[in-house]
Parts: sequence; structure tokens; C-alpha cells
Amino acid sequence: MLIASREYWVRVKKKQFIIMTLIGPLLFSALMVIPMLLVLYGSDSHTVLVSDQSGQFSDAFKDSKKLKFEVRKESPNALKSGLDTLEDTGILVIPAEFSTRNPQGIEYFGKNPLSADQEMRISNAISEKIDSERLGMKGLDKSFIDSLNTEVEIKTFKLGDKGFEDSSSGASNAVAFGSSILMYMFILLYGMQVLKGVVEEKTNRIIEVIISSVKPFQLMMGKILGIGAVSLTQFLLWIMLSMGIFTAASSFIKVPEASKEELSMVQNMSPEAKKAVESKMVEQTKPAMMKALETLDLGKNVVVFLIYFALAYLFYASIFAAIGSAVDNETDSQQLLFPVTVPLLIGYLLGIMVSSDPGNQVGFWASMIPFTSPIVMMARMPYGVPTWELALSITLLLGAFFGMTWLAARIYRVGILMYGKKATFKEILKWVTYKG
Amino acid sequence: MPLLQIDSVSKRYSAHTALDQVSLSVPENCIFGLLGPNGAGKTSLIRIINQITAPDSGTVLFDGHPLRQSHINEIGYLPEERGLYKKMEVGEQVMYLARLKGLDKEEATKRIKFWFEKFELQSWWKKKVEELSKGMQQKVQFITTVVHEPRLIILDEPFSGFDPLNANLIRDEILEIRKKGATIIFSTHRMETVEELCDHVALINRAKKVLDGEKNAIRQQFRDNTFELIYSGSLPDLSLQAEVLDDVQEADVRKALIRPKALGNRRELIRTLNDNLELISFSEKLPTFNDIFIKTVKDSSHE
Repeated sequence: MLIASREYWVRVKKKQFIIMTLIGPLLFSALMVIPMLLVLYGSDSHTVLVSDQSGQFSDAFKDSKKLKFEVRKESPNALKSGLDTLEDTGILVIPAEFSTRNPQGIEYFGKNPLSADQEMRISNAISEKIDSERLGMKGLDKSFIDSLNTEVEIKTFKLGDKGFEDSSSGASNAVAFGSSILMYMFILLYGMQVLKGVVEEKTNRIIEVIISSVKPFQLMMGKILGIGAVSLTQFLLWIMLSMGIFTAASSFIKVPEASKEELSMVQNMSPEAKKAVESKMVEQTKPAMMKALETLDLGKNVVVFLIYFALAYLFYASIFAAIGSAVDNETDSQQLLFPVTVPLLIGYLLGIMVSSDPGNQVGFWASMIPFTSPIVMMARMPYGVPTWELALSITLLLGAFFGMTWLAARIYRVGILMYGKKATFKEILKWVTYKG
Repeated sequence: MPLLQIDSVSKRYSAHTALDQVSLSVPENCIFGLLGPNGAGKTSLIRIINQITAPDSGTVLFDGHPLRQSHINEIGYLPEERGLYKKMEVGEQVMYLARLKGLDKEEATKRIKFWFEKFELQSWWKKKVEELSKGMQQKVQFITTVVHEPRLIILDEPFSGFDPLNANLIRDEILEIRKKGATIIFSTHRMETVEELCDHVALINRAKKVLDGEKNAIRQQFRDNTFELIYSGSLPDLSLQAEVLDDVQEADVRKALIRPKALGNRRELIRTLNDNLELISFSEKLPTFNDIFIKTVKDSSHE
């Protein structure tokens, strides 16, 4: 206990910790707020001057928020020479010989290349036009063709404890992705701290003094728990600070959004109508992201995250401790680290995969196997995971943690007193069998 | 009853044997010199006493009982490789180590203050360890070894890194602690400190104990009938009575080492000398521990 509290206070008092704790939430909330800002204030709209030599596509392009089209009569060369003076403008040249039979030769000229999104919009517009032309040639009438282009919006429901619940796959995806990355980062971050702590004690040679006072196992567990407490402290502070900053930032952003024309409209209305519109506006201006998040059971997610983090941390930290004990300095640890980083990385990659395809078999198994389960399970959580799977996975992880701690303690005990030789995996395995 | 009774302890690591059937008995309230060349197995033995590792076979009795966890608080250990947390404050660090040894906070504060005053370290309480000079770090480490007033103190090369003044300070403390009733095991390569401080000596070479006993008894055992002679004048012909090993001028006197041929005729030898030169001193030259160490290690290594 004494050891844990020393490990805790030494780290919490460090400047690095305080700085990281303050900067972390800024980074996190920046990650959340910046996309919102981009959506709201977005880049300025891009104008495309269409020089249609073939004369067939003047009505194909529809303006959107980000992309405006102007059909021009001038020759392509005349347009090109004027390009210098125009901001955010490009020229799309459709050659005279371009037809539904020969859909080739379209060129774009601009100061900046088209973004993938812009290019897709333009080529979609053209191919839509070609499609309807071709269908028209077959004698189908225009209104029928238009009716083919239905925009289908899928509202997703998931089967939860209370029957089908409203759910948003976009938000699920984001939360799944985010929490598995967070899990990965935290395990690695604090696992490395354990490793550093062990190596530090070993290179300082203080280890001999300490273990003449306490059992190596106590020292190892004290260190792991102490650092674990640091991580939880930091994590909770981060959550609180991020929430604070995020709320502050999003309330600040709401104001300009509900501005201009809508506000002027409201000015001219009767008080009742005004009220109705205002409340509707609040509902509308509430960022879509927040609305989507509400459909998720955030509380449950956070609790499960904390459980998994605690267990995963304990599991991995004991491996890190064992590795730290087997090396003389941090540089040597790289080679031995790979059995830790590889499963973590696999878990991370699977996590990304699973967050877009949660139902998959690989996801199920990966969320059961202790090495990858914390990360992958986090990726599956927002989509809803049956309670028995959760219980099984947690039990397995718990069991693995006990097993790993036992193993790690045996390696640790021998490793901390070994100096001057690089341990190989074979030797480390031999240490396990040494008599205490 | 000896404080520490080590009975045919063996310890093997995969490649080599660190201790082979070593038995030792450390009497209470003495200074026990544990000697041996590098890699002989001293550290392994010390680690076993400290319960850092367990022996493969054999038993260790502390105060008549097999070693158990609670004994650890009655032992203080100063390892050869010193180490402290570099980034931690000095006072905090000593406090932490003292509390690991089972002292409560109040008692620890009192004792640490006492020791800091004794070693004139008070003003360094809030400093980080890395800001201290090496000698000061050594002092701090010494305090951590004795602050819990252990009954058995194990010191591995306690004087390395100290200037003569501080070495004296530490030496006096060791004697003081012994006076209070503690037992000290001393591992060192400096034979002059062994001669000066130790009551008992044991020598380990190649995992085996090769010498063990009371210091003066060992010296008696290694006597080789050599006498030192300080005189002025010139040495007469002694060829019938003794062998002259050495004869040199030292400042304004001469110094000779002689070995009488028969044990009985020492009186006659002195008479001959007295008749021929001015004798300043005539004394038996006991072997130094340096000689004993080298001789024993060489002999046991050739076996």
C-alpha cells in the first residue's frame, strides 16, 4: 500500500502529469469541436465554370452548398486566361465530341486540384445525365427516370433490453472507434510507465534495498496499482475537463448558427409563432452529433470502458513489468516489447474493422481473447453486446490477469537482480521455473 | 546462541554454483567479516540472508528460528551497488524506506531527524537526491540501513566512496551500533578494515567456505615464525641460528625479517643480536589479512 501511494504521488506531482492533464482535454475537445466548426463554417464554396462545347449538359449540374456551377459561353481558352483573378474557381471543359456514346475527354483546370468529394459530385452529375439520356433513348419518359433516383434514408433500430431502440449507426461508429483508440492509447501509455518505473529502479540499483524490505511481488503490484491510480485520476480529470470545454465550446458555437435570415424572419412574427419557431430552431441547431449521441447508452459505455480499462491495464501492466525487469535499460526493451505491442496493435486494427462491421465472427472471438478483448469489445459496445458475452469476456480477462500476474511475478523476481546480460525469451522462460 | 546460523546452504543458477554447502555461524553482537574474491558467492549468501532469494538446500536460522518474513524488519542491508530514487526528496525517501521497514510515521520522523543531525544533513531534507554529492548520498543510504535499528546489519563495502574523514565517521557509527547490541556482517575487500574492525572472519572462495573463525585465532593459525627486527649497527652472521629473509635501511634504522631455525633458541638468538648490534625492537610478525587472504584463495583455487 505504501508502495502504491509513493508511486502515485511521485507521478501526480510531476510537472509532466499536470501539463498532460491540462493539455489532454484541450486536444480531445479540439478533436471533437474542430470537425463541428468545419461543418458549420466550412470552407468557402467552390465555383466551377462549365464550358460545355457539346451543349448537352447545361442543365446537368445542380448547385450545392459547397459547389456552385456557372455555365459559360466563352471559349475554354478565354476562361483559362481569366482564371488568375478568380478565387476558388475552376473550369470544367466538356469537349464538343462528348456524347452519351463517347463519354470521354472532360478536362478540369484550376489553381488547386479537385478534392475527392468535389470530383465525385461532378462525375456523378455527368453520369446521371448520361444515364437519363440513355434511358430516354430507350423510350422511357423523364418523370419515370427521375423517380428512379430515390434517396433512401435508413433509420436504424437496434434490439435492446426494451425492445427496438432508436439508434444511430454513425454515432455508434464514432463512439466505437473513439473508445477503442482510447483504450489502446491508455494501455500503451501507462504500460510504458510501469516499464519505465521498473527499469528506473533497476538501473538505480535501489531495487536491492527495496526487496530486502518487501517481497518482489508486493513491489510489482504496488507499482502497478499506484500507476493505475494515476491513470484513473488522469482519465477522470480528462473526462471532466473535456466535458467542460466541450460544453462551453458548443454553446458558444450555437449562437452564430441560428443567425441571419432566420433571425430576421423571427423578428417579424407574432409572439406565439416566434416562440414556436425559436424552440424548433433550438431543436434544429442542436448539433446532429449530440442528438445521435443521445441514442447511445453513454453511461453504460463509460462504466464498461472503465471495467475493461482497469482489467486490461492490470493484465498488460504485469507483462510490461516483467519485461522491464528483464532488461538493463529502456533501449533494450524494444525487442522484448513486441509480444506486447503486436497483440495490442492487432486488437487496435480489429477494433477499427469491428467498429464498422460489428456483427462479424472475428469480432466475437477477438472480443473474447484476453489479449485483444479490451480494445475490440470497446469497438463492439456501442452496437450493443449481449450481457452473457460481456460477462464471459470479462471473466476470461480477469482469469488471464491472474495468470499473467503470477507468471510476470516469477519473471520479475529473477529479472530485477540480473545485470549485465541481455535476456532472451528462452532464458526468461527458464526463470519462471526457478525456486523462489 | 548465534544470531545467525547458516547450515549447509547451497544455491545453484543454471550455469554455475553460487554456494556449495556453506555453513556459517555469526555470534551475537560481533562484527563479522565476510571475505572472498569477486564472484565467490558472497552476494548470493547475503541475498539469501535478506530473503531476496531462497537457497536450493540448507537452512538459515535467525535467532534460532528459520527465516521468515518478519525477520526482514530486523535486518538492515547496505548493498554494494548503492541506489536511491534520484528524483525524490531526501527526507521523503528515507521516510519511505523506513516505513517499508515497518516504522510508523512519527517514530520514523524522530529517528530520521536524529540521524540527519548527526550527519549534518538537516538542510538537505527537501533537496532531491540527484543534487547531493556522492558522499552525501552514501550517508543517506547508510541512514536508511540503520534507521529501523535492526539487530543484524549487513554492510557491503560500506566505505567505498567516502573520504577519510567521512569513512571515520561511518566507522565510529558502526562501532557505536555494535556497542548498542547489534550484530554486523561486513563484506569488504579492504583487508586493513577487516584487521581493524572485525572480530570474526569467514572467507568464501568458489562457492565454498575456506576459512572461518575468530580473527586473532586465524592470525595465530597463519603464523609462520617470522620476526621483525629493528636495529642500528650491522647484522652479524646468523646462518646457524636463523634465516634472514630481508634486511633494509629504513630512515636512520635498519629493518630485518628473520626466521629462527629452531623454536627453542629464540633467547639465544636475541643474545647474539644484543651482543652485536643495538636492538630497538624484536617482535613476531603476524601475517596480515592481506597475506592470509591471498594465500588462502590461491591454495583453495589450486585444489
